Amino acid sequence: MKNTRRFCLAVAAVAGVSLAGPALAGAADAAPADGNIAVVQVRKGKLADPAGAAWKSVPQTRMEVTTAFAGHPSIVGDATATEVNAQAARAGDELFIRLQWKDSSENRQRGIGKFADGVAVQFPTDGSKETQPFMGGEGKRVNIWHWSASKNAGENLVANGFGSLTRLPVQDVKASGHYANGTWTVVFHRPVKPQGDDNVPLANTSGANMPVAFAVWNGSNTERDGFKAVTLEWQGLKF
Amino acid sequence: MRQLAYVFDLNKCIGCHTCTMACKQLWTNRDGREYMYWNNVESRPGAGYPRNWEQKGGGFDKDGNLRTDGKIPAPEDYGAVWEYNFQEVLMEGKGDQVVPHQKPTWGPNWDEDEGKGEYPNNHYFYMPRICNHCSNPACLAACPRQAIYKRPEDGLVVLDQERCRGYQYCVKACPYGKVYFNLQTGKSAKCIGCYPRVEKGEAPACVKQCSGRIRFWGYRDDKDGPIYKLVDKWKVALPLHAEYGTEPNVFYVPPINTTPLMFEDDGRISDKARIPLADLEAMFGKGVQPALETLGREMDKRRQAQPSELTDLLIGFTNKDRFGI
Repeated sequence: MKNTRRFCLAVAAVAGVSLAGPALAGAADAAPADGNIAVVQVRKGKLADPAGAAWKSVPQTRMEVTTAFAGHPSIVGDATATEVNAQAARAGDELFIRLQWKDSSENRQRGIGKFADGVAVQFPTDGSKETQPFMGGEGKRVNIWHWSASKNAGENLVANGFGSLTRLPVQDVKASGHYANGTWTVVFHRPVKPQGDDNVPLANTSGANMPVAFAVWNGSNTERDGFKAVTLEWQGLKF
Repeated sequence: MRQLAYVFDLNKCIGCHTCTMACKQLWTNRDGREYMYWNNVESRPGAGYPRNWEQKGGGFDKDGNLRTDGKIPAPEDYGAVWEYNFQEVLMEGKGDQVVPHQKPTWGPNWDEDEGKGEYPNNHYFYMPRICNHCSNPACLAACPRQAIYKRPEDGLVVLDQERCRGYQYCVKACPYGKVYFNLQTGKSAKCIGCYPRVEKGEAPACVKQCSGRIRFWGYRDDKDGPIYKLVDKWKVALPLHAEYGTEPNVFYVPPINTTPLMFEDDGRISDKARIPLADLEAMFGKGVQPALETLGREMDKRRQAQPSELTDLLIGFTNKDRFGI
């Protein structure tokens, strides 16, 4: 079942490159009801704490995730995560994104043949939905915020296609994770003002709908790199 | 692309591990690489290093597609890095025995000299192994990030520590078990062919330090060099497990399998081979028998005081005879 789905996705990805870029964007537009994550203003509370009480009043959006299109022959297998809950909040000059997903095992250790759990947030650097949500493409860069349980820290990255993921010189993405009751909760935050061209601009976006995508890795299933569960289309971050 | 290549003459290897120590001192005694032996010497028959690497899978299938069934060896198959209480026993007078800090149960070379068979018909030989700096490296093909590349000037396969993100597809894909994961850096690591030495015209440490003088090194296409002569002209040096499809650039002169002679139960001399030909062919392919015949023929010439280019080559009188670029 999942393999069939992956195949369909591959076709969609190819079609998106060749002729149906706008159509793919259209598909994302067609599902705003469950795809939009409202960014709410929060004045009090510790949003950087994944278990912080301040998150209780922030609405959650549930998104389906499924095995990503394998961009390389090394990448085989089915990812295990099926959904991610997202919340977003603005406090001061920072944007916070909180993600929750179920994972029956807490994998913080990396080792020989051992991989850590992880999660990532992806934005098209230019804010355009025409950018491929699968690691971007030539001339269409994506800014990726990555959190790995092994370091329990955020990493700021850029990509313009499969295999191109590169760490950015500016590391202003902070992240912290918390595991309890079979669920990971991770909060990312970054100043809304970008530092450098490859960092997605998040300031002066009032009323805007910023495309955003998510990926989850289950370390116990040896998920790493392109072996992951992802949102198939751009979601919207509604400012 | 020019390609550096190696020939190891297994008839000359005495299993002294000087190559291993040369490599370890230079590259792998620190910074999370302690458990790695980019160069190791294993007794064959035997489990090898990492344990049972010949069963780990990887490489390419018959159609040239990257196989994804490879395994990442378990940490215990490399062996733990144990420390000794030298300080306490020798310097502080505590305790009366130098012992490792944990009970070792497996390690590189654990089955040294065990071999196969019962005395007086037992056998083993030593097989030194490094990265094969393959012409079609499975580790390179397996990396989704182009972190592994072949140096255009000499074909050495190197791993860019900046590009690597520790996905370990290379560890999985190398059928020789010669790519390792560094737990300290979170990145993979492998033999670099001593490229900083090579760039100064110097042979790799494992080659230069070999006290048995079993190692030959140079460009594959240098018709005046020992590699071309042993591999292509005399055809006595063979790739290890060519069927993995990676086109390895380390070639082995197979061990002469008929000496010492075998014994029948009643003590008479037997005409059986000491090392079964099939065992050697399983490693080095169908070229073994012709290679052994050539070796035997050329050695006979010398016994009759006739000249032999091949035996002179294999003796390798000077460093210049054995390696050069």
